[in-house]
Amino acid sequence: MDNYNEIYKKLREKYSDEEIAESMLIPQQMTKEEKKESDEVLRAFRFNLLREKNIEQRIFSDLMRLRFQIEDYLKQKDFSEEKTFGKFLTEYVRIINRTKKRFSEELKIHYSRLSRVINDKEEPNIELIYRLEKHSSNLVPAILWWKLVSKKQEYLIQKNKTLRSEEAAKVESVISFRA
Amino acid sequence: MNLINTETGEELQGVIQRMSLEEILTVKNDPNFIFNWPSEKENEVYKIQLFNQEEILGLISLIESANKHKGKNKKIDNIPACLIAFTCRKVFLKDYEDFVSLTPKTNLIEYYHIKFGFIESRKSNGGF
Repeated sequence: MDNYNEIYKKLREKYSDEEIAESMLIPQQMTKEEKKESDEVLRAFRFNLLREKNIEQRIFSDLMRLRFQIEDYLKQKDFSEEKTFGKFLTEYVRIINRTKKRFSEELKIHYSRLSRVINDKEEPNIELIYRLEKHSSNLVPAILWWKLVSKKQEYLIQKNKTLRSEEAAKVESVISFRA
Repeated sequence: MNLINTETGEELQGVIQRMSLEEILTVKNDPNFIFNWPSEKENEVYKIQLFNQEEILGLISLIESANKHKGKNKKIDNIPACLIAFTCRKVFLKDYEDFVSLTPKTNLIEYYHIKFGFIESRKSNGGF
């Protein structure tokens, strides 16, 4: 381990405390006992913060996590049946602790339509996606919801051989190219 | 949170990636860093670079900006802030109840509070 006090002294010859803090973290040099005590203080501090967290703060944390999960999934190449729009929306409803009935009323969409969307039986339209963005106080942006729909569509377009064949058979004339 | 070119004020796109053990060990010979980074090999160490560029701007497990990005003549600002923001994001994803802690030298505590918004856990011994 580095001697952080020595490093700090050296840095102070060149930089102010503010400049040091802006560019790096100089850890507090501690003995084993001090480290143990410090860890206990932090644990208690963390416990208190958790205990004092109100429902609003918990929902905020969980929605941020949901947003990051969507972002990370969208960065992945592959589509997953477990990470569809409907699955993430189900998680959203769980986080905000609403019944589907109440949620549909808040969004002003029909309950049965919401159910179909949540169960991935119907794709959401852009209007619903804007409403979801607003409902989350913009914590989960519309574009993220839309990219989930889009990712599924891309997957289906690649995979749906039956429909591709059926539709291809309906085309009367095909442009031909000479090699 | 973005990296900032201190000369032009331009926002720059950074990329943060986990370093392999091999990479961590090579930082030992890198004159751009002061800490002994190979001693962090047991921990997760992440590097921040500009998009499509090789230069390492900063590292986190400890936190350090490369030498040319330290002090009043630094070329790029916000390096530790981006690394801390990245850590906070990871914490959310790991369900650690959005808790990130530092244990800095006591006389630097107020700067970490002002610059990064950390809340002090106790007055006498530097913990956030």
